[in-house]
Amino acid sequence: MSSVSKGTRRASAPELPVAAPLAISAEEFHSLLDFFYRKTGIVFGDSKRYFVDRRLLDRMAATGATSMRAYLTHLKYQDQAGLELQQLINAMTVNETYFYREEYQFRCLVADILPEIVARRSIAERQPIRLWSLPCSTGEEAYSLAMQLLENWPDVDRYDIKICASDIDTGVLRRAAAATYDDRAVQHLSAALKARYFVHTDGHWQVIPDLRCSIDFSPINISDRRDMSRHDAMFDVIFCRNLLIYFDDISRRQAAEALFDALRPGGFLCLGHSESMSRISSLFTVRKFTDAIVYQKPE
Amino acid sequence: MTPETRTQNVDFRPSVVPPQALVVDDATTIRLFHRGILQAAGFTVAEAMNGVEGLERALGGSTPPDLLVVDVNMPRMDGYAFLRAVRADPILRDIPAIMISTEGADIDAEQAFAAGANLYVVKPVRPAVLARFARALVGLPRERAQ
Amino acid sequence: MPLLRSHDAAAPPADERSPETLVAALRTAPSETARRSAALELGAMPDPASGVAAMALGECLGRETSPRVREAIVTALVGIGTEAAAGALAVHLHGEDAALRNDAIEGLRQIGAAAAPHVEQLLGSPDPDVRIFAINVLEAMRHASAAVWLRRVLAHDTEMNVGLAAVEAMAQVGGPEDVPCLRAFAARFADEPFVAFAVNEACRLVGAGAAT
Repeated sequence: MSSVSKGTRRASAPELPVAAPLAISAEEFHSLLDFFYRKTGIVFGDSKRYFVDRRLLDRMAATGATSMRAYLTHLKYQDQAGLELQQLINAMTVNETYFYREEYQFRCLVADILPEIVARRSIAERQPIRLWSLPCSTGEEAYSLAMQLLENWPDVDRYDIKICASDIDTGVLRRAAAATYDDRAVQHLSAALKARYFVHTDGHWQVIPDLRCSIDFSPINISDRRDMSRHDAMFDVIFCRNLLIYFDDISRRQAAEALFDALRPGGFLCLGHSESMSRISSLFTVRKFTDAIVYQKPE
Repeated sequence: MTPETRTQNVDFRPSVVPPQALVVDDATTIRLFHRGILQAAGFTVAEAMNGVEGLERALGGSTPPDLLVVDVNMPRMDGYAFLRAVRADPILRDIPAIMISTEGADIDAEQAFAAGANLYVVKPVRPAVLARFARALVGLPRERAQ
Repeated sequence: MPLLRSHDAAAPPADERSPETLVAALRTAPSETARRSAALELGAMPDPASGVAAMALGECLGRETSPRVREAIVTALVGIGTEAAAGALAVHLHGEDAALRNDAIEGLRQIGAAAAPHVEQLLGSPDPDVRIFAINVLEAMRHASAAVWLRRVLAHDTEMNVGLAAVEAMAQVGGPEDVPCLRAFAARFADEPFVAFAVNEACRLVGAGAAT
């Protein structure tokens, strides 16, 4: 997995009061980077020094650490529940959502993943092809999947397809169902796509009714076994992007088991571009396609 | 040119791009140590902490690595499982691999070769040994004594 | 339009199986899926059933041939997270199966502090490999005694590779006060280039500044 880079930055924490800059020595910097890499698999190259420094200084201020050494000590030896590590991960990973985010996975879906799935289906198969956007947040990913299939999958009319979208937060689910977005969310969409799938009023873009109704929104807690077991072996593809990175080791491990169980044999799992199963689980097979590396449940 | 002169002066590899080694080991100090040896021996070096990450790095670059240097004991996916997956993959299957372990018994070497290693070395490795094996496996000429 | 409107499937009933039923399924169910499900359910058992569950999970771990079921068993033990669950994993550090050992090490790391008594015991094993595996666990535990135990290994262990594992672990958990111990270890194996390298790296990472 390469270094974190893409996406526009959300407005961040208030600027630090300007004082003498806290020195971070090369050793301390590398010690922290190695610790972060061991925990998350994320590598920051030298070009990201400024990016990382700023966030470290933010976290030092937030935790009251007077030196980098003090912050490292807290992070490595005192942070029993992993709460500060979580804050650091949140700070270091960019988390914007918008339509067609991490587009290369959408390309991979129609170019490689779906062709494999349909090639494997028996003629007698009655179940629809099921895709899951989890967490779906305010719905951009689920609607993007629908548009991608309609626009770019040649076989879209030959199969029944069901797109499910779930989140633990019922507030964002309501917003996802309402499907009304601002200019920033749709900035990567072509004019043609916007014209075809959105109604533009009052500076807002609302997804057209046909598309809105085609997504099945439901609440889910990925850490709840009862909840997740309702979906055993249901899905051909799961998009679980930029969720697991926010979990602790144990929860992440349990979530990987749940995602595995929710997939049909041979089904595919896509994580966020800076996420990797290498820190989580060996249940999945690593699959390389032209546009992406994805994970597959063995058949 | 005489044949002797040719082998001394000419790099047989058609490309001028240095070969890339992928070091797969969960110990930071070992990765650093092997990185230094391999860089001095003429390689660029990528790293991974376990077999799953090793597969991701091997598959995820624009070209696959030219050499694998693999530890046995790693979490998630150990060296044997990693090599078996490599040998089963159409893109990766022919990449030469050096397996490195603390175990010195013959049975462990046999297991390494069965999994798909080309060479098996007991750690801690001698820098000159790793360098020599690495260069030989990718077809680089022997380095002359300094 | 081929995208289906949704109709929610009826929710299947919750898993009401007793611990005994689950253990039987874990031991004997023919399908991998059934054994995985039993293992993960056992991992979610509330006390006091979790004690029984931990024992059964540990026993099955050694006999289970499917790597995916083993993964589920370890996940379940990590979820239980007690000293008993750690014990069920720790026994497998003595085994011949490298993959199982590595799974057990990973599980023990994730259990964390509750595994400490077992780790301390394993550090005293006559088998140098077992001592290395114990150090591998220790490296990832945020445990107050970790540096103390590692210092003991660095000072007294006769096996170089055991000491090297301790150097690596110390690089993760140690502080500047551990530098003298690291240097003393290097002096014990002064002829080994990797020992010098590893100790210099570890000293750098624990904050001694430039290597000397």
